[in-house]
Amino acid sequence: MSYAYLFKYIIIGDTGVGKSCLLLQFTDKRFQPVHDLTIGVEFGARLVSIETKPIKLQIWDTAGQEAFRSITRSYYRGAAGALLVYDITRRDTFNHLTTWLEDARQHSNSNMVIMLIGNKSDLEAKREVKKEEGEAFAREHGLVFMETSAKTSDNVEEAFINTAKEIYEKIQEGVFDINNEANGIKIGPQHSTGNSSIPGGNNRSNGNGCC
Amino acid sequence: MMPVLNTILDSVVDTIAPPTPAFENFIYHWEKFMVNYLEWTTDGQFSQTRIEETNVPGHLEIVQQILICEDQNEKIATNLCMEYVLKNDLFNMLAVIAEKEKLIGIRILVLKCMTNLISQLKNPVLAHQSFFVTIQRLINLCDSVLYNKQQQDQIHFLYMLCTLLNNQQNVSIMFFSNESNMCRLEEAKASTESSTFNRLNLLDCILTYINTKVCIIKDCTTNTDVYYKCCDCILLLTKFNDENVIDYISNETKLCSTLSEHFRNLFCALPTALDYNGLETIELNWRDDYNATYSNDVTKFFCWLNFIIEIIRDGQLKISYSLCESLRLLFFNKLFDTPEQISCSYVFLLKKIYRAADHTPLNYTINYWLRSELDNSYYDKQTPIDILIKLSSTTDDTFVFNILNFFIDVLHDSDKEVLDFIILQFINNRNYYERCTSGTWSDEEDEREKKLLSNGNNINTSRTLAPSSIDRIINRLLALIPQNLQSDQLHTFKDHITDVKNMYNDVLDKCTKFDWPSEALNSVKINDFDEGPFLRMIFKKISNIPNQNSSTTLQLKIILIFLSSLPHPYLHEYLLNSTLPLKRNVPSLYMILCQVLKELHKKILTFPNYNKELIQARKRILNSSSIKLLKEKNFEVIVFNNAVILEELCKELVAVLFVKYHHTNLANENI
Ligand SMILES: Nc1nc2c(ncn2[C@@H]2O[C@H](COP(=O)(O)OP(=O)(O)OP(=O)(O)O)[C@@H](O)[C@H]2O)c(=O)[nH]1
Ligand SMILES: [Mg+2]
Repeated sequence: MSYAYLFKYIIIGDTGVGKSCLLLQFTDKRFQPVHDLTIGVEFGARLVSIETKPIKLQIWDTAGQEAFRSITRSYYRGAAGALLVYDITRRDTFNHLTTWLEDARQHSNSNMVIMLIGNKSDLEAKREVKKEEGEAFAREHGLVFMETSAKTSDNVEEAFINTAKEIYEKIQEGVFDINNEANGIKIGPQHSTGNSSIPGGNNRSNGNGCC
Repeated sequence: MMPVLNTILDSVVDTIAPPTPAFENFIYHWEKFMVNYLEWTTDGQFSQTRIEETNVPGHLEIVQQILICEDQNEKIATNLCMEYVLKNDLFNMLAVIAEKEKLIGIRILVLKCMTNLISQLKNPVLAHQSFFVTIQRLINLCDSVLYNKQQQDQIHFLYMLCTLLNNQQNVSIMFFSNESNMCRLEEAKASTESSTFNRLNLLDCILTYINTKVCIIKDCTTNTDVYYKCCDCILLLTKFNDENVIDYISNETKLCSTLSEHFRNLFCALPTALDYNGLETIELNWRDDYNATYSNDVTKFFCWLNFIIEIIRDGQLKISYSLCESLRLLFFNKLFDTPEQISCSYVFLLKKIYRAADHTPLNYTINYWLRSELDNSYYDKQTPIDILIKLSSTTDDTFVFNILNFFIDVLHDSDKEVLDFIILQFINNRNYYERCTSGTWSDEEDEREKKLLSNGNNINTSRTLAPSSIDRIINRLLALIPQNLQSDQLHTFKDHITDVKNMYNDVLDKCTKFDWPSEALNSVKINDFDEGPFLRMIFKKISNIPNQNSSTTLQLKIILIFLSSLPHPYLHEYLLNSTLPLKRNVPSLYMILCQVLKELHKKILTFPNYNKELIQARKRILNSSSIKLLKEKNFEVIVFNNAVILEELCKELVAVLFVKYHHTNLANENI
């Protein structure tokens, strides 16, 4: 439970590209075949380690639907990393990337690490966007790029962790001011590591009777 | 219980600085809360215990405190507790507990706890599914019909929520969108027990407070607070600046229909005979006058009128328009449903509403309604204007007074379409004009001829103003009052010039954008002339002046002065140019005035001392309003009053001619 840093992430992209599935695969190692529209925002967390340091990722999964765009915008601030997702089987989701990028650049802090993700790589037969196109877009806009599949979990782990590495490097380089909360990075409560008996997870129901 | 609690609270404050113990504390109290609750409701039984007798509130209070502390110290502490809450859907558990209410009072406890959280959290995670689904479930519990006793706490929760949304308008879409509605339905399906509850959106829930307050206002002192909060919530929500929310509010909520229906209910609850004296000038404000001393029904009606107008004026335009449209359908269109109902006070109230709606989109709505055909069994295909004109033939003086007063307001409002509907459509074909009078050329034809000859000289002086016979026209009007019957020996129109000039400038301001023609020209088609129902009514009432009260005469004067000041060439020449040749049987204002004055003067001459009487009548008229004149029953006084009013009318008409003529000439000089 204790960690050196906490990084806030935000996942953005058109509706149905697989944002919530990526998060679920990353935090719970499950895949959800039915599209469950995200309303507002959802959130998940997982501990990873970068160069042996425990780092907590707190990930905000946003709704891709246009109507909720204004909510999504308010979550850019205070995010250290963003996963910008498109669906390789739907060209329009790729075409909208510019708009998403503009939004992100406008509302986030300038150091935010953006990872471009072409999701659903398992659906090779239905592919509409070539891998090279994704790479080209990423190069052009200075993003990191990866193709993933939330279904087979291919590259999912890497996508989240590589983003964290990138952020960690920036911290080492001193680019991020870790004392400024708006950067989406916090120093963990490692000073009080003596307390290792913190109850966590879902064990609240087995609390002992009282009163 | 309390002392124990305090020490626990102290420990919360003590331990909050290092983050981890706070989290431990949090888990501890949450578990204690749950265990306690479960013990009181063993086997899902409904407990007879009141919540104050248990430790349940104490633990929840601490849970809430820790969350708020954590939020306030976010810089040093990570939001572990909130993270835990969201991840494990604790709020939703609270909502379920509130819905089931197996422990007496736990619902309100949860409601208050969530109210505190949403109003105190610096970083409320309202958009988070786990949070807003909970809030949504609680909204469903706050329907005022369901739980009357707890209205205060419920509306307070709704009010805090609206305030919060107002500060974070981007989140408002969560509560006003079809997408989030769908999500709620899913939620309802998942938990079968809650499916019995109404699925209410926030606004519809607030609207349920509108109707209940009518029936319980008398016996509940705290009710005013509920009313204010309810109104404030509505005002806040209708101002939200998010296209999607605005659309949702105007299309998917019951806002417009509820407000309109409530308006109609209050209207119908008014006493049939109103005491106008106090009401003539009254303008209630929904916030300040809700407890005013007028009769309750009247106060409520005028407060509500004021409230609705505020929404229309300050709310988002789209919402204003929807509200106006629903008022038209649900209120105005129903005003003339049953002819028996249309009374004096009806028209009076209509005038008050019309005034209140001034400078708002509702003004347009009413003007539109006034000239549109009704679709009911009794008044099929008639417009409200037609109906009011017909009703004005009644012998009830007050009724006539109210109708004419309303028309005066409508005319002064100068809506292009309404003016056209009432008068202009009937005269702008120039069918009143006799084209081929053998021998005599009208002043105007004369002018036209001259102009042709002089080749464009003087091109800017309107022929319609009859420049060459203006003196004759003025003299004719002044001569209508013989010298011995003048109440003022000076008999000059100069006193009126300033007022008329001001009025004319106002009128010009409003009417220049109408693109009215600048000259009266013959149309190709020749038809019989019909002055239309409104002018017919006015002419008839002028002819009837010797037999009717002088308040009507005063109102007729106001109407005539206004009409003649309009910068409309046809209306101008028809009403004012007494030298214009008219077709046979076309009524002429000048001729009607001649006859009426002749009749009046004949009557006056039968009184000895009529000169003194005239002078006294003059003093009376100068100091009275039309409402005072309405009460005068003495026949002799009325005759003299009427004579003086007509005398002033003639002079004012002259002033109008004078001002209009000089206005164009001046304008020409400036060119
Ligand atoms: N075959 C395949 N299907 C996927 C993959 N990722 C997501 N899906 C499917 O795509 C659909 C949408 O996934 P979600 O994760 O709910 O989409 P989202 O981006 O969160 O959409 P919003 O919440 O509306 O913004 C679901 O039916 C998933 O099963 C993938 O990698 N491969
Ligand atoms: Mg989603």
